[in-house]
Amino acid sequence: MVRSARAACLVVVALLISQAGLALADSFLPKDFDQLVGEAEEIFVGTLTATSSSRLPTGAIVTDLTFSGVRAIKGGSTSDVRTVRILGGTIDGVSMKVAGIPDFEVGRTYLLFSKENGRAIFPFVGGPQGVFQIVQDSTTGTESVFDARGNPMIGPVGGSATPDRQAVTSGGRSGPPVSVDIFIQAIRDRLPQ
Amino acid sequence: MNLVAALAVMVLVLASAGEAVAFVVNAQPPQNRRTMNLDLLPTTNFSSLGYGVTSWNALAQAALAEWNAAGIGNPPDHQFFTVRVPAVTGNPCQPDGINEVRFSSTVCGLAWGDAIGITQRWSVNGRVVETDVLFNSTADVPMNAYPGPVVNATSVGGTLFDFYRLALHEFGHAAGLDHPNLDGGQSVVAVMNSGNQAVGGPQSAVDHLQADDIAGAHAIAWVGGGLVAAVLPSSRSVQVGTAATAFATIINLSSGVATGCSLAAGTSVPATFTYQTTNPATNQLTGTVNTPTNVAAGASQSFVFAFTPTAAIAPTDVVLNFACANAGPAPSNSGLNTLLLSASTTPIPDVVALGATLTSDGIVNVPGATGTGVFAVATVNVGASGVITASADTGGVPLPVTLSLCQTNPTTGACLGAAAATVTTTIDANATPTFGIFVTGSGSVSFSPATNRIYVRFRDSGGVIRGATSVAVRTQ
Repeated sequence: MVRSARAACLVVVALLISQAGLALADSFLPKDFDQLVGEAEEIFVGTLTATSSSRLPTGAIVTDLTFSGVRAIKGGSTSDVRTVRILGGTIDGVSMKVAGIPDFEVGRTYLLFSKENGRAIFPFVGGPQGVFQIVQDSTTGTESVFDARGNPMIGPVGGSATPDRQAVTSGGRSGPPVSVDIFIQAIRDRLPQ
Repeated sequence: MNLVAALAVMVLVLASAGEAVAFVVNAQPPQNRRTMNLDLLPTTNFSSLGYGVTSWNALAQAALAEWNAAGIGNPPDHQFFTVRVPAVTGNPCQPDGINEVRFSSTVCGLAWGDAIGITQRWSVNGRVVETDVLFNSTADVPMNAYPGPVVNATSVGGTLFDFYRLALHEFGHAAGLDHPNLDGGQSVVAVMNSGNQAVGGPQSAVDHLQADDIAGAHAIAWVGGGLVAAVLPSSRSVQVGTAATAFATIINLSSGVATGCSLAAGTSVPATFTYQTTNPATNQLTGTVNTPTNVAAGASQSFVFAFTPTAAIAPTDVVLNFACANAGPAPSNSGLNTLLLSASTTPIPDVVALGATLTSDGIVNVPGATGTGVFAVATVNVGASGVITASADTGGVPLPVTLSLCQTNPTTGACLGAAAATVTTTIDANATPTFGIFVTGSGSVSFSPATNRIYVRFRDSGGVIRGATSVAVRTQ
């Protein structure tokens, strides 16, 4: 029964994902879930364990994010550590911050759709659209998926990889966030077999 | 409830949208108005223009004007954005004091990735000093300018982006707004949403500021709030029980009357504080002590204020709060509108120092990257006699300059000795020694007068600062 329910759930998620609909982009090109999976050079889950800022020869500040305990979903090396470079950071009291780029928090676990790492300003597919947080319920131990800002993913709805943000409007609707297992399975379903 | 049922409920729930006022104000508001350097050169990647104008700069200027019409802050400042004239070539990859707006094929040497436009905020020690806006000029991002629903590009597919609403969006970031939908996780119609320029999207026709954008603009507590302020002298050193006085001026830059303007000590020190308005022509007191006053639009009001220490105070850069009931506070900049205050239980030197530059504007200009600029400092010791060591520094800001100074003949301005890193001399009570300061460049110094400054400090034999002044520095 549980098995059939899970299978049915995946079908529903897949149907939702496949629908055309909202996309996010004023500062970043809009990407749907298929594009997130298809365009990512690497998809992985990892916990941010260190950050280090430095300057490029142009003077711009960049920050290297080190993720440990990496679980690879698509591409990448066999190492369990990844370093991702993003534009922005702080050195000696001087800060460079790009509006709209989410903050990363050491100790937090992320699911990332990475591309152009080391070459692009924010090397994730669709910018923030390719960044998700994984949060473990302290009571049940269940890992759930939230977007880059910590808004719950109420399913990758309407063709967008982002949650339906109307669902988190204060006083509005709500629902349990998607479990990381279901989310990853939806990714795997889109990878070449 | 099984998972299928749960998901079905989610879908039903998602189908009944609500709406709320949802603007999100960035935690770091601007320190002052924004003068944008429009450097949007023609580029072959772009074709016809809409909105009745014929250049990208004109479109950007119109977007800035739309924000000004809405007003930034409370009361709304309708002159928050200005356009730098003449435009220069700024460097968005370093905080050079120029709020650059340009197309670019890279961002400081990095690829755009999936970004089509970004706003970069530079801050120094928590103060936003520069905001640059860059637009993606690569062929991957077809851009035009047209009102109404966004359409697909016929050339490469995907969205044909409307530059005007993209500029509105990025300038909203420059004013201090974030994304209501992403950063706030909320649903509202707004230019500041991320996601409007998706073909067929529910807000693809939003091409002008919406009520939520304007409400957000009015909620920006930008630090200046239309006020700026200055203090002279910038340091006092007195005996406990003796008033340390200084003059201050508030300028109301807004288009409305600033009401109930007052001064207050923003740093806790063991001293009583008073202030009173003055006549700027005579420095005579006007009004009554500790009474707020109104400042007309575009006008200034001078004050005298006094700290009377009740105990010894180690040198403290005391912040002054210049605020009105409907505006401010004015941005605080060390050396510009703070007071370096110290107090002792015994008589001590009190070196009141004033800088004088060749252009009489408080700016020392260094000719070329490796030239030498000069300025003078006149002093009067209104305290006790003492051995004083004068030195110059950049206030901790790494600037490509070497500093030296000498004591000068007050009549001729000639150095009394070789210029060096420090000069030590005895300054008697009421003596008025003068000094010359030499600023030799080893690189270019951008014009950022709140940040890039040369400080001259006067320390007693114990190393305690008993006087200080500063000037802005730049390469010309």
